[in-house]
Amino acid sequence: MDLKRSENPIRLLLFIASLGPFAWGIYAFYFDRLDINPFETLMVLSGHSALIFFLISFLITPLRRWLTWCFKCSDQMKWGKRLSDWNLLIRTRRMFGLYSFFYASVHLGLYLELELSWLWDELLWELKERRFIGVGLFSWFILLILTVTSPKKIQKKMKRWWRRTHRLVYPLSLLCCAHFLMGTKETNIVPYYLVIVAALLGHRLIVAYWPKISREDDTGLEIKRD
Amino acid sequence: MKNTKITPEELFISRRKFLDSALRAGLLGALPFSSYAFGKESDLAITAEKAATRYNNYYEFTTNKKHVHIIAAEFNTSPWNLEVGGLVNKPKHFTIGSLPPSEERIYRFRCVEGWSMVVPWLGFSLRELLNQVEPKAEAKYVRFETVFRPSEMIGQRRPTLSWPYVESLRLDEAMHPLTTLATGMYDKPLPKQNGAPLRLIVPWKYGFKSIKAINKIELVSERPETTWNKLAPEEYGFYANVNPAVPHVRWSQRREVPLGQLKKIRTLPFNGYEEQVAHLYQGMDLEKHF
Repeated sequence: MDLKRSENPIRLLLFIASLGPFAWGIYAFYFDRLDINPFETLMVLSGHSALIFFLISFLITPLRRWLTWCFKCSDQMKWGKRLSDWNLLIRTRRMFGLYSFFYASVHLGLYLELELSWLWDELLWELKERRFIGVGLFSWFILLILTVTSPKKIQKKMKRWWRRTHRLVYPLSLLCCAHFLMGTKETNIVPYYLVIVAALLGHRLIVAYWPKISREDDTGLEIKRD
Repeated sequence: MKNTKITPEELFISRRKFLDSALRAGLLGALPFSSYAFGKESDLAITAEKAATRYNNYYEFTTNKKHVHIIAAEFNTSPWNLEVGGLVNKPKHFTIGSLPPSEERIYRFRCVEGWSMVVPWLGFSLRELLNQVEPKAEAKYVRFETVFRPSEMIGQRRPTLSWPYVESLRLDEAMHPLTTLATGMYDKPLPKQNGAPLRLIVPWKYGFKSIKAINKIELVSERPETTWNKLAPEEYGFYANVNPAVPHVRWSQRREVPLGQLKKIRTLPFNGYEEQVAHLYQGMDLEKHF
């Protein structure tokens, strides 16, 4: 079995599994499983899904780095080199990022429909008075930019600007956490997402400023093979 | 107030509508479509009992609204001793049996978190009780306290809030006939998760004013510190009148979602009781005294 050829079924599997929260929401809606406060259930489901898929895609670069480190000694083994530079990870990173945008859009759409009934003057009031709404909307715009620039064609056209643009994920990671924490009641705050984001950002900082382990080829793009 | 029954007329009408829609829901339930209510018609329908008794903000037990009913099951409410004292001529102890008789009162209930319900309470006006103890002239505020019993109220073992929970009303608010002490809901004694055996209901204020499991009522001359107001005064005012014009940083106070429904609806000033209570606040800047 060739590892590269087995990528497609794996990606298909991940693609279908990632639809899980969406499918559950649809099922729960039609079969009255949305619990006592269906509005809250849907907002929490879509919001957490967006955040979790963002975190998964945010995790992939460090994960690849660690895999490289783990498999360093197995270079000579069958697949050893391949496992360390597994392009599958980069491709799924894009997929998870797109899923994050998908769930964030569902989240935003539900908010506009269920909370505001598309009353734009209400939205202006909300942006003025409920700061975390503005933070959320701003995060969605960043995700939109990342999504629009995600196809390979555009990636190639943008050249080094692609990487620069996609560095927006770093502020985005903090904005997502801020949106989540600011929307939580002060007595119920457990900052688990923030801890994860801090760890992942910290990891990047260490890597960036520690020349011994920084990698030239770690551009976030697929690695070309002969 | 002319009527002894103070349920607004529209609620009586909505009750009929509720029965009507319940019937239709029964028929529609057989179809494979969602039965979540859309639109205006059911806005004032009585909330399903299962929703009102399974979605409780009751931090004495847990901060998880859906788990309160499980943890509160062990709470012992009988015998219950209610002490009414302070600046009164006749301080008195009550048991649940010696309280004034209860009647059905259907009120809207609006939580500061942006959800709402319509509940048929069983209760009586607080003023009936206050009249029995005869407040002195210098009494200006009524202070309520929830029982402190961390052996059963396990949420009180952690300093989520300062225990015991304290709430307070100005005396004229407390004497308003809408201000209710509830002993039951849905024609049954109050469930433990809803504040058994005795709780306050102030229909025109956010739900956190409606303190649960009261065992002490005191008349005082100075405005007491109240639990949520002390925790975050910018977010939770002392008056806490339902007011769409005063925003909250987290929750929309212009809109609310009735439990069981998908879409939010507009929130009314004083939670729809403006006509009955607005005179209490004449000349006050309610955006300052929120």
